[in-house]
Amino acid sequence: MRAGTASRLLANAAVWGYAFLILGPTLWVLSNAFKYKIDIITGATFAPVTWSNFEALLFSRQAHFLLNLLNSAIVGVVSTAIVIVCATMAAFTLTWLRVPSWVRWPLLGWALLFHMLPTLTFVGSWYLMYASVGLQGTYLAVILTHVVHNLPVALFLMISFVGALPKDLFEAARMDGCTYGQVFWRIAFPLVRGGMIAATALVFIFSWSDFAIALTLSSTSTMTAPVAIATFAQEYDIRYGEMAAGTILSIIPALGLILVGQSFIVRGLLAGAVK
Amino acid sequence: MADVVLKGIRKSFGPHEVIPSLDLEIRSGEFLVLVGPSGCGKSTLLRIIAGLEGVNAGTISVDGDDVTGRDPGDRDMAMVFQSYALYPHMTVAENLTFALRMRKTDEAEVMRRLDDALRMLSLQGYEDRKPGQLSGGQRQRVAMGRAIVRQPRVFLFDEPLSNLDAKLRASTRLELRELHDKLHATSVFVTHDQIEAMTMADRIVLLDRGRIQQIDPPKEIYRNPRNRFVASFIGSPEMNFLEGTLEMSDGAASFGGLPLPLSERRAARIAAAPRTAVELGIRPEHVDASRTSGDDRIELRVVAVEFTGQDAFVTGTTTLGRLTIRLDLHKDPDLSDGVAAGDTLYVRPTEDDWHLFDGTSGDCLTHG
Amino acid sequence: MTVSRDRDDKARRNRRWIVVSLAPTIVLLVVLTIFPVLNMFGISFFDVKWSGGSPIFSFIGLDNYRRLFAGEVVYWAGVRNTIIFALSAVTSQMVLGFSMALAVRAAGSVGRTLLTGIFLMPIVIPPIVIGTMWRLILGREFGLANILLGLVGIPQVDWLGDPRIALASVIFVDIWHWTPFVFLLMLAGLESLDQEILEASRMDVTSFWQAVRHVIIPMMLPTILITLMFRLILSFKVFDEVYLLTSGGPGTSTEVVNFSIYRTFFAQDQVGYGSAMSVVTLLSITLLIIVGRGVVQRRAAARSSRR
Repeated sequence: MRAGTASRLLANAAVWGYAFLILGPTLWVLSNAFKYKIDIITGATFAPVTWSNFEALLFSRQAHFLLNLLNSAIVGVVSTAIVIVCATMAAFTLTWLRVPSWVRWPLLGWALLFHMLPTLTFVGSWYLMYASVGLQGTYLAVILTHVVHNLPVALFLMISFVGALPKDLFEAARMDGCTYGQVFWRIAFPLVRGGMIAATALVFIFSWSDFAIALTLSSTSTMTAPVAIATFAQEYDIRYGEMAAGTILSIIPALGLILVGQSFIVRGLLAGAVK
Repeated sequence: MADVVLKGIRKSFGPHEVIPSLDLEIRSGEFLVLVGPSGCGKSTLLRIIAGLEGVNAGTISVDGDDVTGRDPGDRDMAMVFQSYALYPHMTVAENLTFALRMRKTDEAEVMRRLDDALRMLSLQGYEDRKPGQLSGGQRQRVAMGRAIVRQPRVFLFDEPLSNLDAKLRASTRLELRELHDKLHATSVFVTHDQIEAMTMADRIVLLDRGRIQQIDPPKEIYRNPRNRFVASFIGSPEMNFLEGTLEMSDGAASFGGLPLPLSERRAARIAAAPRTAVELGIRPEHVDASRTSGDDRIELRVVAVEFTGQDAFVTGTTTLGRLTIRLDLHKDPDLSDGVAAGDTLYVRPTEDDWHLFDGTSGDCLTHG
Repeated sequence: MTVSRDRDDKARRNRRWIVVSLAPTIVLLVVLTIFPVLNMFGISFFDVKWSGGSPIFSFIGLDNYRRLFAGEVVYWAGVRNTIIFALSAVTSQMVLGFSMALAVRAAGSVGRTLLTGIFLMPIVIPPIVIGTMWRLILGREFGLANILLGLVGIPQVDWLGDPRIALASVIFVDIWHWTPFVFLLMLAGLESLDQEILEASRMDVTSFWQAVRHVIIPMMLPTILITLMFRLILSFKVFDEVYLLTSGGPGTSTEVVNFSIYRTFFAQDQVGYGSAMSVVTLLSITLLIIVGRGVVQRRAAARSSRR
């Protein structure tokens, strides 16, 4: 459209202003992670840099944040792997093969509905379920719940990616004598790898970011990073420095993903929103 | 090399009936072309033969072997898709040998057939390229190679030339037909282009809305259309259709004042024809034009002229309606000086090359 | 002979594939989502007491529901807050995000990749972390917000502790969080519009705003509606930020439904009552979704039939 210099400046000012609004607070928090508590409290902008917060967080005797980060990683990697495998196979079958209507529509409909309902309304039931089989607080409980929580998103994402493949490739494969499974492994899977990466990135972020499920279903030994961070804020003597340090550490995977795979994430978001 | 017999094929997509009831016999070794306007069901029919679509009723047999309901990979047929459907992540060699490896064909045999195909299609040296690195014409040949390598009983072609540019299309047409002859194959070829149909087919199957309008060799379809639809679809430019009343007396016939050259056979055939609600069909190339008037000619007021080099297509108005005629400028020096809009010509149909069509049913009354 | 046996084998393998590819997903969904819903529905008719780590169920019929609809205050405050939150936050995000996208599209922007990267940050940062960030910033004594205000002489504002503005603060954080997402979606939507139609409209309209009102917004309507529904539904799920920013306080000013349920289940240990709350919440939102979808579909149908 039109591009008067004044409107151009204004638009860029607005957008970059917002970008500053995003970076500013983040950088301020970052800075807090490196300050002594006294400097945080007095609001000193320039203060001696210290790693003490990180030390206290990760290595002190009462500290268990390293374990928490590890737990987040375990839960994230395992649940994401399970989700992507299940979702990709199901997406392929639902998109290209003949599935009876009484399976297809309830499955997709319920997945969509479940995705839109508040997670907290299920948590109580999940807790009871796991408790009754002795799984409360275990890795398995959190992993399984993450899996089922992210399955709808992954499913719809993969359906849109698989659906974007040309139909006649599959028909050619069938004429060449492939079974459904062979069509999937030899044709669909190699060609949908980009989409799978995008979905994996998003699902991992969702799992890493999860709070509600981990809060209620994990135990002290399986606590994930987000839950640990929240505990810093619960005490009377709020541990600002450690909270900030923990924040920084928790953002690292996300930032890493943006730097490395920005295009994938955007692809995933756009495809997901279209559904 | 095999024959294919379709009996009582019925196909609907939900409430929409695409093929009401169809019978077709494809002879072993022939090059059969399915042609028709878009939506006529030709691609659907091809896919039914391939097994990519099911049928609501009817049977398909290949050499007496009933293949209805069988998986497409088990019918021993190969298909060349309009978009070629080459596997983008595989090399040319892998694309060509994929089907053979799926059937666990002996390795030596695979290599032999691969070499044969590469040679036949002039693709030697390209084995390790991926489809994305090939030109359109090369991709088309790989698509064909994929089918050839399988040595199937039947070859199926779904508009394989549509994505090529005009020049390439003409040369590939010849190559394709030559390959068919060399392999002694049975081929079913779908196209919407009647020129492709006319130049390549042993027999043409003309479809309209799921029904077969006519099955005949190209010459026969051209000379002897069964109905108005066939007559207007085949032939370029399209046949002229004129309205008027048929008059017959003493072995002479005229149409709205235009005398019609009449042979005895023709006379017998149209004796019982209705006099009104009939159309006269004349192809542009079957009209004789002159600057001098005559008893057997009617007047044509020229409205537009299109030169194509050797010919000119002249469109004008007559008492019977609009008419387009083809003038061979070399044959008639009289006219080669140029015909222009506003000129007047005098035209008549050439011997026995006109047709009469029933106004309501469209049937050709002079057929036979 | 062998040929037909191979064929049967193939058909069997194909059937097996369909089952194998769909089974894990279906089993997971049924066991972990449908079953819990039914379970919860059942438990809502009971009173649950814990004894030695095991639950003891005593049937009380509809008492939990009666209590919810009669004497309950906190939950309904939560409902009110959640609705206010959802509507105001989402509307602001949509307007802001769309305007920015329009501005960028019309005027072109510099450094697109960097911009997208920065705008992605709020989306990929864990919500709980966003909570901690803004807790630090909006903190009464040491928060950045009050520090900056102090620099220009404005006295401290108790962003999170003053019941009158606590909810507004939470809403603000949510807007900060999600506007970039709306922006990215709207921008992608604007860029996917048919350029020819837009160019043709340039000859018909007399001002930029006319173009926006009569051409761009109608063409963007599907994208806008989808984003709106997406965001609305997501905003009903808000929990993490509230937990960390205010824990539902002060008083009930930032109580949201999810928080009430959480507290009832885990802090107050009232499993039966919490289940009843969950059931009511689930049913209401499901109803909302169905109605919402119906409205959207009817509008889309009316739109296409008018054409």
